[in-house]
Amino acid sequence: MVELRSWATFLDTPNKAVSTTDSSALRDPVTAVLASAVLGRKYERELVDELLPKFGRALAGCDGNAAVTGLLQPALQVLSNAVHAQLQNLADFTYQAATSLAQANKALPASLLNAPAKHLRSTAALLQRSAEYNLTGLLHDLYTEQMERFRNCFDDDPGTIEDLTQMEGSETLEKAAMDISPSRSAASIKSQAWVAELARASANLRKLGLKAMSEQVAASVVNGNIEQHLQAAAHGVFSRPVLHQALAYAKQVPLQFLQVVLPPQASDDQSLQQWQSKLEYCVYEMLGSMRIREMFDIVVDYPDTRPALEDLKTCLIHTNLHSYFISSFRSETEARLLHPGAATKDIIEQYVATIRSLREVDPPGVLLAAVGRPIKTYLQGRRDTIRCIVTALTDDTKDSETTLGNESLFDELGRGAIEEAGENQEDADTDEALLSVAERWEPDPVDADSSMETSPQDVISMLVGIYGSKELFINEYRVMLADKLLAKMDYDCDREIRTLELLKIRFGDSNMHNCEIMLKDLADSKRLNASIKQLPAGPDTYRSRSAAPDSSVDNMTATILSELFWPALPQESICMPKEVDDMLKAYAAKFHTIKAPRKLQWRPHLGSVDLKVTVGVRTLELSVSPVCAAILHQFKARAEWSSEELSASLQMPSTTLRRKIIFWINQGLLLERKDAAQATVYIRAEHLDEHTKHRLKDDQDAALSNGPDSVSPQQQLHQEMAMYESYIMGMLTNFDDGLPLERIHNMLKMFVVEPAYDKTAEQLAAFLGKLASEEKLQLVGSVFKRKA
Amino acid sequence: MTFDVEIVRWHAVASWTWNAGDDVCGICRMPFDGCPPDGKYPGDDSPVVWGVCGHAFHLQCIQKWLQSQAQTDQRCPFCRRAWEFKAAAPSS
Repeated sequence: MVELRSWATFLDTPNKAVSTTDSSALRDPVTAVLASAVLGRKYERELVDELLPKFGRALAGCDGNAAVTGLLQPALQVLSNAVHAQLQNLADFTYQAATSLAQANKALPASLLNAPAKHLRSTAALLQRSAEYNLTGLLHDLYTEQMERFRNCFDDDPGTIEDLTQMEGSETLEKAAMDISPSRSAASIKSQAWVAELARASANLRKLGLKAMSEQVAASVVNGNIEQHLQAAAHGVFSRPVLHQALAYAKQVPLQFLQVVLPPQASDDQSLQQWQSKLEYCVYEMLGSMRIREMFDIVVDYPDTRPALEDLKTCLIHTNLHSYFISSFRSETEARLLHPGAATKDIIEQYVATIRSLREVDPPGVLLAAVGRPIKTYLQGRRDTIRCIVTALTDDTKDSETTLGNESLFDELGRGAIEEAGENQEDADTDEALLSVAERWEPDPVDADSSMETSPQDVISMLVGIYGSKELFINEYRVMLADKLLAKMDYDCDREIRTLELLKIRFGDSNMHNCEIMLKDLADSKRLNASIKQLPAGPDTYRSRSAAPDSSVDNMTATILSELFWPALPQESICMPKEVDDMLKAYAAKFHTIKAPRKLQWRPHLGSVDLKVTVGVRTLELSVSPVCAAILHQFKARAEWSSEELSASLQMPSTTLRRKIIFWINQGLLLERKDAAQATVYIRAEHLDEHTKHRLKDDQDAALSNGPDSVSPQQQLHQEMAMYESYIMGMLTNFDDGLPLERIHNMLKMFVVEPAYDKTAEQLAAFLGKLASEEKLQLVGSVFKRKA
Repeated sequence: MTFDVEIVRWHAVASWTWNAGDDVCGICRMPFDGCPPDGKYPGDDSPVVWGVCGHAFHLQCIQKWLQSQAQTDQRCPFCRRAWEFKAAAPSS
């Protein structure tokens, strides 16, 4: 009891008490522990009551960042000195107690020894906990500010970072990794006063037991700095590599900064290395994420963005961002590309760029398989995909803006052919080749989706593979080739032959056999045409048989097809004018003479015709389809035709006639009138307006393409169905409640006999859908109704 | 008023046919206007020939057939009459 009382006085005047306490009193371990605890408690109170408020007052001006540097360090200094003094006293006391206990042959309690450390811990906890002066925030501000100063110093000294930027290639990286000794500018920075101040501030923090906090804040500041640097230096910069420079920067500024802030013993090589790899990882991850977010734009600008792709590749190797890449790029692609507003051609271009870009980033093709799938699936849903691919693949016209790096698919087709030829030569040492392939093998990354085939394919196989079969592709190509060849009047198809040779290498001779025969037909036609022209007027044997053997074939040429090898050609019936018919017969007779026993069967609506039309004083020259030519020819002898007469004379249905004659009406060469009986009459124009001539030029191409173009099955169906439109509309007029598809179908089958209705219910459904989209019908539940 | 249409050049399209009546060659079952299994190109490279019996075959096909027969006993594979190439082009 007596002792306790004396301790109580001791509490009030601790310093005196410690110095005056009879050391004999400390010979008892319990007393010693108690005394130590009381002393600790005393200091704690002093800390709370005096030192911390004082610290807080010193920081009172630290609202804005500007003042932090000036105020925080002195305040920390004062605080840490005071705490240091307390700790010193505690240590002295402990030493005293230990000595006394040793004299009394008493064991030294562990709690006594731990007293100073415990006090330091509670000090740190108090400092961290007091929200009043938000030490973490202040420290963050301080470090950020000093970091900025650091960076400015480096920026002012162009000899450091710039050097590294200019050196490119992997040497830089290695050099940067090995060279971790402070550069000369770092040395000069360290000698500056503010740096010393910063070092002292962090030393004070360590003295206050806030080492962990200091490091944590420093790390986050450094990360922020790197991010900021990348944002400034690399955001949107795809045309040059930024990774080496960023790594060099991380080694320069942030690492030097850490060297100052971290305790001196942490500056030894090993922990520095550790920090450096942390920083490097940070750079890889940040740059990687940034590039992944920008990936869509990078792909758009491929191949100008190759350096950025190289960077990304390195980043992906060092980090674990694959799944982020997949999800991010996928959603970006879906949002920006795979919507109805994008043209199929553009989607294919972007797909090709994606394939090429990803092949650089990730040669095994794991990423590509994952991100390419949505594009592939989407393209499958577009009807013109194949056509676009074929066009892209066979378009060898070089536009001037094509850059060297951006090779067209046509070039790739050619290159693939050369590579293949090269590979074939290597057949001799197959084993060696296989071995080298085996040695290059690398396992798929762990995050690869094993359900996807990841065999690396070239761009063309991937494009052709969108539909899973090359047959579809080849068929489409054949149709396009047919269109192209039929439109040719000069038999010149060198380009097509070159394309075909390349396609043959890729798809095999047998697959392209039909196309080859089509091209051969063109070449044969050219030769035949020449021989027919040279042939004197039909030999006697055939003179009797041909209608007009003397008819000249001088202004006639023909393309002669091996029909079995061509895609189905559109059928149209038309009766040609006698003049033309005679010419065709004479040509056929001459063919028969040369190629007996073979005969020709004309496809009168195919081909093209050069006409010279004279109206009044004006003469026009134009190229049109044979059908259009035949129609106009009818007006040579007669100024006026009624619709029925004309269609009877040409033996073509009046609907078709109307569609074709529109061309001449648009040209102003024919006029459409209604006669007294409301029947349509066509009259030839007596003069041409000035503006007609311009229109002629514009429409000329349209007129030609009007002719031999093969129609898509969809369009063809709609054309065929169009004649039933009036039946359907009439039918639905009588049924106000509408009719279901099935009944419309049955009624058409029952009542439409001329020409007989031969469509399936599905075809009818498609046509009704079209009428509905044209707002002529509406679909209510399952019944079709007339639109009111 | 003049209204004249002059044909400067008429480029027509036609398809050829052997005009052999029956559509397929009786030996290879391929269309006459196509090519026999060995042939690469139709037309000139895969000519169609008639026997005096009136049956037509691809030249390659009938030659193969004739070669497989005894030199002295060459018959049309259809009607078993003695095979003889019909000289002139047949009338259809």
